[in-house]
Order: sequence, then C-alpha cells, then structure tokens
Amino acid sequence: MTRRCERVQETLSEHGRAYLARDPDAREHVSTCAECRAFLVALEEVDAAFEALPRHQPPEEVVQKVIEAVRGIRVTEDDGSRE
Amino acid sequence: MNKAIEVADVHHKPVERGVEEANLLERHLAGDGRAFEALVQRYKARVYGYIVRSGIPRDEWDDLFQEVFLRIHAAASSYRSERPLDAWVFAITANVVRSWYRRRKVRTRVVPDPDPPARDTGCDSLQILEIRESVAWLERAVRSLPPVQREVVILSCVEQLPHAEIARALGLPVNTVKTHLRRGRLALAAGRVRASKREQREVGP
Repeated sequence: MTRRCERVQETLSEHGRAYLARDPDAREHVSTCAECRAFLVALEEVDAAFEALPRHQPPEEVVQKVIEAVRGIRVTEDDGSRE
Repeated sequence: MNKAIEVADVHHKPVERGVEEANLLERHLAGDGRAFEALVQRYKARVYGYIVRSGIPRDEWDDLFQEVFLRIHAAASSYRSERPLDAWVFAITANVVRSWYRRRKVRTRVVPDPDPPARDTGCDSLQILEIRESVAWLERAVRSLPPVQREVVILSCVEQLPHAEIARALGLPVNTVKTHLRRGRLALAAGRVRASKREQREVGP
C-alpha cells in the first residue's frame, strides 16, 4: 500500500463516497487502484451491516427487576424524608 | 409467511427526542411512578445493546444493565433538560462499562457470542445468509476494537449520536472523537477486506 492509498482510505473512512465526489484526484486513484476499490466496497459493506444490526433485548424479568428496585428505593427515600 | 420485517422492532435509529422524553426524569423526580418505567422501556434495548457490544462476558450483561438504570435513578437530579437525554443516558452507560473493565483490569476482551439473530428482509435465502454473515462478522469486529474506538463507533455508527454529544458523554475533545471514529471505521473496513479475501481463498477460483 502506498502513502497515497493510506491517505485515500483514511479520508474515505471519515467521509465515505462523498469524498470522491469532491476530489477528482482521489476518484481517479480509486478507479485505478484495486486495493482502494476493495477498501471502498468493504467500507460500504460495513455501513450496510450497521444498518442491519438487530436490537439486543434484555430479558423481561431483568427489566422488571430494575423497575421494581427503583420503586423500592423511592419508597424508602419517601419514608426517610417523612421522618 | 409474510417476510416483511417489523421495522419498528429491529430498526436501530435513535428514538426521536421530544418534550415528553426530556421530561421523563423530571416527572420521575416529581414522584410520577410511571415515568421511570417509561424511561427504562424506551432505552432498554439501546443500553443493553451497548453493553453486549462492549465485549463484556454474557453472564455480566444483566447486572450491568441494572446498574446503569440504578445510576440513572441516583443521578436524575443532576440531569439538565437542555442536554439531549440519550447522550446523558449513554454517558452513564459508558461509565458503567468502563468501571467494569477497571474492576476486572481487562482492557479488551473479545467474546465470540452472541451472533445476532438473522434479520428477515424478505429477500432470497442467499441474500439473507449474506446479511446474517455480514452482521455477525460486524458484531465480532466491533467487540474486537480497542476500547475507545469501540465506544465512539457504537455511539456514532449504531446510536448515531452527534460528535459533540459523544465527546461530552465520553469526556473527550470533539477532534479526538473524530480521530477515533475514523480509525475505528478504517479498522473495520480493513478487517472486512481481509475477511473477504479469506472467504475467496476458501471458495477457491
């Protein structure tokens, strides 16, 4: 990988394909550099995968446990404040 | 069978903020018993997802999840409504995760599981397989990033927080956030290139 490749890939990481739209030299480089083309494809695959990430739901009993715990703390706090 | 996905269930975009959301903590502090439950319901998947993606072993997830919301309750009076609530919630979440790593004196720990469930996109089976593999790869790759890069990548690429809010949540200058984000995305894309080359070698010419 050349220094030029490093610079192009770093800037692609920050700005994505939009970088190529505003920099003709970079566009020309990517069109002739297989390594940078593969990097751009990979970067876009990563972005697509981010879009497809599933939610990780906590177990419902854990959700209820923390809600009940805070309710209990509040009751104790309220009792304390009345003393 | 209808293969249409339930977008609201799997979509990862941040919940829209509004006056109601900003007021949840104020209502909680004012004694509204349902406000805290609403806040937990609103943030449970995002907070749990952050913990899961932080490379922490599975048997710690539930305890850390509860610790986050107990800390949110304890810190509720310090919240200022001009600050986006999601950034404040993630500042606490990130601190809980950092504290866990400090306690365990583990800087990075890669957990092979869980591979996420396949997301049914209504496309053919080959595409589903590709998406499933690509998502599973990304989950592992994010957990493998250096800690600060991982924090920034999750908050930016998954939670889509603005750079300034990530900086505030993590106690970093905005330019440092941008640098970590750039390096994180660079590492993920470079890793993806290597993975693709491996796959091509395994499949053969």
